[in-house]
Amino acid sequence: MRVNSPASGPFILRHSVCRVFYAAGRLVQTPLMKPHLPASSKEETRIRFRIFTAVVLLVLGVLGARLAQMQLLDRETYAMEAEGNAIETKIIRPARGYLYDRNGQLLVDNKTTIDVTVSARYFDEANLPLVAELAGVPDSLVRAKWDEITERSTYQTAILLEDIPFQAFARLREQQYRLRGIAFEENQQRRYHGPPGAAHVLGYVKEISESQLAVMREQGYRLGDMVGQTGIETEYETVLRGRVGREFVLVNVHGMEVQPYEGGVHDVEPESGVGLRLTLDAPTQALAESLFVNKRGSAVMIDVNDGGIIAMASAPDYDPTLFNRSITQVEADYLYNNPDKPLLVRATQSFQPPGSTWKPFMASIALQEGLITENQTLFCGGGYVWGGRLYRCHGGSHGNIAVKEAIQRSCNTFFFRLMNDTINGKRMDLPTWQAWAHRFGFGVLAPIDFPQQGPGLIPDSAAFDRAYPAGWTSGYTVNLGIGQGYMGVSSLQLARYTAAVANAGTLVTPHLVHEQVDPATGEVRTPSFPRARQIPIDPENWAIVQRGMELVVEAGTGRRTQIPTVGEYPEITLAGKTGTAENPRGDDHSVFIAYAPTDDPQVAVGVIVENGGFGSQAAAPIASLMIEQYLRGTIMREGMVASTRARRSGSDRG
Amino acid sequence: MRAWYKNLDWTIILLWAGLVSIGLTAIYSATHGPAREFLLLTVQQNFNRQAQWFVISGVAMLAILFTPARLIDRLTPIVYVITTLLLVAALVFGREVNGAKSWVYIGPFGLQVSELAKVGTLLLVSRFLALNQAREGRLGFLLIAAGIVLVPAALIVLQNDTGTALVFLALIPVLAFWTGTIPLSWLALSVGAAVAGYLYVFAGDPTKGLTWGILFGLGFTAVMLITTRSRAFAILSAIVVIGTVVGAWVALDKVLQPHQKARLVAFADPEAYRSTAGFHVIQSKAAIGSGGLFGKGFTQGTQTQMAFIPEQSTDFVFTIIGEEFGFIGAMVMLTLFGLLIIRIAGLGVSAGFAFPRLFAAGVTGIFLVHILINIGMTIGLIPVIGIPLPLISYGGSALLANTAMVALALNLHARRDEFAIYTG
Repeated sequence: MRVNSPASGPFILRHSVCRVFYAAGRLVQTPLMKPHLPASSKEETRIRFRIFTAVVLLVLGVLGARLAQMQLLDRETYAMEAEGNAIETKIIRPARGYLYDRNGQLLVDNKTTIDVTVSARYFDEANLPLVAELAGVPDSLVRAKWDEITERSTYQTAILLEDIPFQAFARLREQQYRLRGIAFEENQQRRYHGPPGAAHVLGYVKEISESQLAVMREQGYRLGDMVGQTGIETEYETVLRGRVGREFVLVNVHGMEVQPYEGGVHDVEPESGVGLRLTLDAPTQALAESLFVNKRGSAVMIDVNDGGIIAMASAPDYDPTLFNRSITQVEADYLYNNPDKPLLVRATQSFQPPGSTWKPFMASIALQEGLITENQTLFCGGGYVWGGRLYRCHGGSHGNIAVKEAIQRSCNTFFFRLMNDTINGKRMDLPTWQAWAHRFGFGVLAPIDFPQQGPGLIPDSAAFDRAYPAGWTSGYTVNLGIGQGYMGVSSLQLARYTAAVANAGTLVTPHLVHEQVDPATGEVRTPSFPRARQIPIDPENWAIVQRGMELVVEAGTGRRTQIPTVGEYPEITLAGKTGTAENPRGDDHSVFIAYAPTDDPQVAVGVIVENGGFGSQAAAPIASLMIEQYLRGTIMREGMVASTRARRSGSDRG
Repeated sequence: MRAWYKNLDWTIILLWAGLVSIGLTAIYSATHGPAREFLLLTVQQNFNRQAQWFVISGVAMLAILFTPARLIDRLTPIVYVITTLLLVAALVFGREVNGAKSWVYIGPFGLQVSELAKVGTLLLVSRFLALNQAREGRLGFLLIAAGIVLVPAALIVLQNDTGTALVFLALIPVLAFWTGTIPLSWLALSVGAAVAGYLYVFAGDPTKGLTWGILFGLGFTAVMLITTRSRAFAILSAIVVIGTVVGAWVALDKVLQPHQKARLVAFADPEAYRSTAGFHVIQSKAAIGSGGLFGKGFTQGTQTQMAFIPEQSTDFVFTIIGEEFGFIGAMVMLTLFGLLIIRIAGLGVSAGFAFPRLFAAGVTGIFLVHILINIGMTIGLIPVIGIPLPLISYGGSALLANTAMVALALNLHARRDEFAIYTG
């Protein structure tokens, strides 16, 4: 082994590379500084080793201290961040309960849709155009929705695109790894199997609003939930909704699900909502809706014995499917700004004077109050003079007329007198009249399983004072005897009152749900409703009024509503009453009430066709056809259907 | 003269094996966990490739141990030239990976040459310093020593891998400390300036930063005045340290663009940069912090398994240890590192010659800087600088280079008797 002699120069300098450095160094070779510690000394080396060890321990100590702070003291904070990242709570929305008609015909179920969700705090806004392109929707639409979401909350996951086609889903799924914060959610949408649409009865569901969320958050609702907004969907929201399920999954940084969290032990299965069998009869409801095309008004058919609503049509109506997604401006204009108010449930929320359909009511209470008896006659000279004014009777003079005939021929004079005159030493006063009206379900809310209704108007003197501050006389109240003037009733109230006449005094509780059906077990529950009330009128008085109404159809103003024998179908006997509500602003409203069959009443109907003219013209055929449809299960009078459909509501502005 | 293998320090070999095993465990977790199918295919293979590199490194260690000291001595300049030329080759022919052009491919076999250059550079600079102690204090000597380090460092900067170049620069104060070339007071001053600059950045906003920095500068100046008893040096300390703080303020808040500044300061206040530069720091801290005392268990880390951490098997490998093995696991690893570093430095000292001592010092310096920067960035103490954790991170070239450095330190210690023959 050769030994280097120091004299031959440092070993290293014999290598040319080093010579380059050395030569460069020589150019500026000057003593710079004297080392404080000569490195060769063993003692100094030991000191350096100690200093170095101290530095190593210091560095590792700083790291260790920081780790202790993070992992031992602040673990909770970091754990929350980590869990918020990786553990995603997936809300599994249950299938909303289905709706059926009384015979089990499916009216509403659900369809599964795929929505695109976004976690705003992980999503890069620059990717919006890519999302739009993959989803096949305009840029502007995605951006608008994005702005809306980020304005609301950047923390929660929200729906960016609703109900995307499967191809769009496939494209987005493929590119999901590039779109951090984008995920997918399966959702359920209401699917309507009309006709009948029954939009007003069923109501619609819509994504929960800010103000609803504020109230309903405690019940477990969250952004993006669909909530019943009107009708049955609202009334039965709690049973229809079912129970929300929860799934805890681990998602990676791209928002892709990797696996269930801890094997899914914390997951909660969703429970489907309860199905509802309604009292509606789909064919009758569909017929009523078809008869109301191009008309304004409503019709209600009610079961005389138990109050189940067989049909409840309001026109104009709307398509509840619109609310499954964001509605367009055109749609919003139709729904909210149309003067015909398609969202108004006319059957329960619109009130018109009943016109002459009020007369059976007047007859009933006058008989009960003892103003008249069955065969007592009052004189009709073709009109009634009161306060210097002549109230005309139609059809000229009826002469001496008794109550049944007065109903049959709709004699105004007879009922003016019942309202205004002292007969048999008795006189109907306004409080008595109002109390009776309330007993018949007018002017009060019905105990119905339906959220939208009004009481209508059955005035007392205070109401007149408010309506006519300049003063009013009995000339104002005399009109109430024939169902005109300052009063208003709905078709639901008319149908319920007609049912009470038919069943001799039982004021049934109207309702829309027949049974609740548990979708998992098939278990059926019949909901309980308030008991029917009894109207304190004697049976013989009911019989008189019933007979009067039968005469209306047999030989009076309602002859057109007769349902004659056709082939195998026997005749259906009706009792009814026409009405024409005078409308000072425009064409009169056509009103009709009826029940059938007369020997064993099953159904009662109330129909109002706004600006439809005489009661016998527009409303009566609708009621007659509905009764035929329900009791026969079919329609034999196609011509009548065609002519009824052809009629339109007239003008409401004179 | 004792045979070299009787002098062999088995403790270091055990520590080395222990750390590499921890690294393999972490890489296995990162690549074979429940989310495996979501990883890129190339990432999935990381564990297998690292295991192969483990074998290669073991063979290299054996080969180095069997190399006579004399041969190492002779080969030193050649190794330096080869590794430096490889750096040039990477610049010319190299392939760009993660923005840095530091890879040379020989067939399918990829080498990150900047890692290998550490070995060559450290060998040559410690050899040079050891053989020229007589010239200590001369500017030319210092320039040569600095040049040996700066040439590869400059090439690595050109490759756009500033983080690795920083490690080369860190060799200069480490070796200056061990040779005694530069007085301790000057080293202390440079450390003081660095701490002051760091404080400015860590404070988060300019007002707080300037306050902290200047208060620290005044305290530091007082300490320097007491220890050196030189008024001139104290004034110099005050100027340098406070100047650093003001310089940091001007550079960060007046000169740099916001996005450039963000990369430097995001670690101190990651929430303020949540969606940009702070994202990885937040995720990495959440991973480690949520590990708690015992960790979430092997392959059970939600943060790491769900890919919230970037570069999980390489630069951010420590997050797996912190999250899945908790404070205990992290402490075990830090302890092994501490023992390895101190033990290697001790071997260098006990070898009794300058070359082994300086080489060992360089190895420990490189390791320490890597550990501080790598772990520091994952726990939000230091800006995100992409350098690996020695012996732990995925990366064959780094594992090979680090193993080679450990083996060379072992060799020079075990064969210390051979030095007496050819050195003074």
